[in-house]
Amino acid sequence: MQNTISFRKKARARWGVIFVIPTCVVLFVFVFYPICYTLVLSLNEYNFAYDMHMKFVGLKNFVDMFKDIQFLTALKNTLQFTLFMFVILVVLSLSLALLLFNKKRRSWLYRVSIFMPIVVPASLICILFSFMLADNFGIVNKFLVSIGLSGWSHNWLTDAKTARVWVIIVSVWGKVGFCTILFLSGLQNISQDMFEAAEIDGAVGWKKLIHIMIPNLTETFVVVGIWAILQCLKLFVTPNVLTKGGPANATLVMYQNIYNTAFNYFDMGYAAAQAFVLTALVMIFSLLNMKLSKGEN
Amino acid sequence: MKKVLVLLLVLLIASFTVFAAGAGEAQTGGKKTITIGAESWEINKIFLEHAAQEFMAAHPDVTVEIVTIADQTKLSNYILDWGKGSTDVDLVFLDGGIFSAEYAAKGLIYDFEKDLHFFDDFPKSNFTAGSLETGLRDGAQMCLPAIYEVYGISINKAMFKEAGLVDAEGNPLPIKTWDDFVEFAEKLTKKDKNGTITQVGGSIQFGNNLNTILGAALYSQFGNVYAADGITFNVDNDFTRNMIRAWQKGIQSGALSQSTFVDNAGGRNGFKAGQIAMCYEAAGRWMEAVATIGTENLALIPIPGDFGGTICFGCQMVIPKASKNPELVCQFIKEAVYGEYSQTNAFTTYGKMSVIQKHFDAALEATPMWKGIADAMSKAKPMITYEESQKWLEGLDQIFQSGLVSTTTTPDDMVKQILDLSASIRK
Amino acid sequence: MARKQKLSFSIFVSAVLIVVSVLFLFPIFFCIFTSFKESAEIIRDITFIPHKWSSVNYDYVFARGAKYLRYYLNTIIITASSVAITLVLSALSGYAFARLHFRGSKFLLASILFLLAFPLCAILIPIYMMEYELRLLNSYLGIILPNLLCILPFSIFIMRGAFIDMSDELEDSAEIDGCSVPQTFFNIMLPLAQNALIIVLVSGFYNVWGEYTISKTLASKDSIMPISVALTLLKSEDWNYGVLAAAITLSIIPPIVVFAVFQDKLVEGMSAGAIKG
Repeated sequence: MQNTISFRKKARARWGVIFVIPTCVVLFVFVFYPICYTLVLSLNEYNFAYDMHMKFVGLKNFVDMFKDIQFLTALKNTLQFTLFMFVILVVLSLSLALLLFNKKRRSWLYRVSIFMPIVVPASLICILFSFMLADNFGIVNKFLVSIGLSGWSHNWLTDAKTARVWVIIVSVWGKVGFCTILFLSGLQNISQDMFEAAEIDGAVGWKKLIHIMIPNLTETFVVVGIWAILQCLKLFVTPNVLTKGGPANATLVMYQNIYNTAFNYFDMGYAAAQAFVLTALVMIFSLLNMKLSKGEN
Repeated sequence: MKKVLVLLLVLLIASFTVFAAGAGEAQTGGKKTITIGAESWEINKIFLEHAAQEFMAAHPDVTVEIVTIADQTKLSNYILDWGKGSTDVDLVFLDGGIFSAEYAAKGLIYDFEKDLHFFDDFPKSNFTAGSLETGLRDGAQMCLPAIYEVYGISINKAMFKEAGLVDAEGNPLPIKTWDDFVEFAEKLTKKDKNGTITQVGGSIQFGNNLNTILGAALYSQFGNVYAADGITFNVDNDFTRNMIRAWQKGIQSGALSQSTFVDNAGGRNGFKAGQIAMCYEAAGRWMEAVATIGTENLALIPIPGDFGGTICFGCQMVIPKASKNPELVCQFIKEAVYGEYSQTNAFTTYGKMSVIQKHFDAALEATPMWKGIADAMSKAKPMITYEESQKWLEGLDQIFQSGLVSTTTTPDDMVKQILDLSASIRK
Repeated sequence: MARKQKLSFSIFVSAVLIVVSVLFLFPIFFCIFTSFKESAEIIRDITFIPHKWSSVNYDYVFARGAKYLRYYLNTIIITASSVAITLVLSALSGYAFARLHFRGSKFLLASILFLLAFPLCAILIPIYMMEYELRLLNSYLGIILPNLLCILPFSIFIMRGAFIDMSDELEDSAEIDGCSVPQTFFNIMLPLAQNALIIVLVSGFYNVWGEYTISKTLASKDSIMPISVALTLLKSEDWNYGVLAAAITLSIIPPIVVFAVFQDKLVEGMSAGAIKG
């Protein structure tokens, strides 16, 4: 018996390797060179527009980063955005998923309207958002004036505080639909028996449902968590199009700083070094999220 | 689900087999082909399709293809491409010419004068004042301008009348200094009973064109943007401090719009919408507002300053050394891009000024509005493109966007910040 | 009493959902309406619903749009291929990571997380250089591969999550019945993961459909350019908001059609999963 189990284990392990080989070929063969190249770049000074050759500088790029006010601002903003966006994304999408799950009939229309924003190309719709929020001719201010709240009209995107808020609102608008889908599918996976059992126990309200649902959503939390962390830390399109990082760097985020360093300043080495720092951040948060989600169980 | 999977797989296989050949180049036997890369607005506003048709009609053995460039970051690909000696474009239109500095630094593009002898049969005297200089890179003609633009202040004359800022004949009163500009802006600003601003006096493009905004203001005052070293902005003087003080006052009182801080088009759109009275940007802005405001309500005035000139900048053309037919491309430039149709229509329809003097004169007769800044245009001069121009631009952005709204930052501080920034970048 | 409470609760839920839906749809309807307005109305009158419906923006798009069929076709080829490959690969490796433990699987999973975390823009130029050497620029494969890089790692996590949640008993009994690992996977486990497959499909579709940065860098020829890049070619010096709105409206029609078609499946698949699970 012991033998068959270990034999089965071995067979399964062998099949496991066979199953992942195609993925590894597609992913790692393709990025192996670019990632290695970027790693080398991060240890060099290389302005690819002017310099003919790279200059090896060791860890200088990584050290310089923490003296660079622009980078530190971007880091601070990124962490701030992540904190707010992550909480809003998870709470809002979970509540929406619970509402939709609870409301089986006629939910079609609500589903469509909540999922619709993920269909819209973000880079283009943000241009339209900046138009809607413009101080002189934006429809938001016009609406406020027309309902008699002209005192509330505001230079939404040129005031650092409100610009930050709107970057978060627009990002959440575009992303919450997918999170909701993930939660919904997690909810659907919970077996019907459990709900029935709970109902026999007299659980009608939210509290009991949540007591059954949340513990059964562990894997969903892992997946949603990773996705939300990625979206938050790698936030780029919304601030880039809506405010271009402004006013005065108030909405500059790390991804955008990397993009600018690479494509506007052509400072490839420095951009590569920053990219690794961002990657490390994402990985730390993702692993933390996995540990926490597992711990809840 | 299985059916969907199978369907997708079939589509996948079909796509590879059917379209694998699609990526291959179509061969044009015997015919010479030149390919032109330009952004979509350049194709439209310089009438490049028409130019290509004209050229092909005159030279039946040549095919002219036009490729649209999606956006400016695409141009950095050419650095890699041309560095390896290959290219899929023979002529590239650059929006503003920042990229030409990089191409020139790596020796990837032809010098029109020394390498291609462009001016042997097309003398420099054909060009308008200042326009050819926009294509100079360290004194060498690395680029040629296709069209050029100048800076000026577009104003809404109807609003000036309403605010009483006109003389007896109904012409807008002249603006001689930046203090005047802000004073006018304050008079042109309207608020409703709650104190909400409903009409803004003026807009200055404090977005990523600050380099030119500041440069044009300095040039219009001193007749030179740069200090004695010939490359640093001449900002360490009372004129600049006064100007910054005036701008600060305007921004903080709401008489100057802040919308250009985050949206470069905020000023021109507000002007178009009839919400902003004065718009200090590229001078062609008034043309965009004709449809909404009407020609009779518009005017163009020069930038305040003792010297009274303006900055010009061109949409530049470069020929990569990897191109196989540089002579043919030069011929295309001379006959088609510099032809009457493209040059006059770009000017009269879109305000993109002709670089060829005879077409310029003809077009100026057709659009009298430009005469408002004719004197300034005759003294137009281009600026120097710094090597690290992008860092310079973004640094300026930050200094002005945080300084102008701040009550604690003095004009002195801002001048110091500008000089520090200038010292820190590669020029 | 209980029924009354239930009713008022139901009304509350509906009210919340209606408000949320309106907020979510507002920008999209604003966009669609704007695409039917003339410039003066957009920028001067600032209306929501157009006073005068006009097709001027669409005329502008279609006057330049002789090649648009080609662009749509390119997008469809790129999207379909990427999504198909992703479905197959993510199901296989997700299953392996979840249930077939092999030495090094933890490390591999961590490497995939690394790929997920790495900002794509930092390797865009090396990718360009590599594709240049391999003659992959301006080819479908050259765009599909980096797109896979974007969607495959996360899809693996989705599939892994779906397989991990399943009970061991099914698998065990199948194997006792003499099914080999691939047989168990294809006949028993995969059908149960339908739900997750649909999510992978939908998310993959939307991500690749709207993808811009990669395609802009790696595709410069009309024969290969997808619609997301092609639409930005309509930009003049600055966007004319009407034209922009028309471009957005045109680009969201196909995904909306897909959504409408799969809406049934989406709900059905999910509830099917709920019953079986």
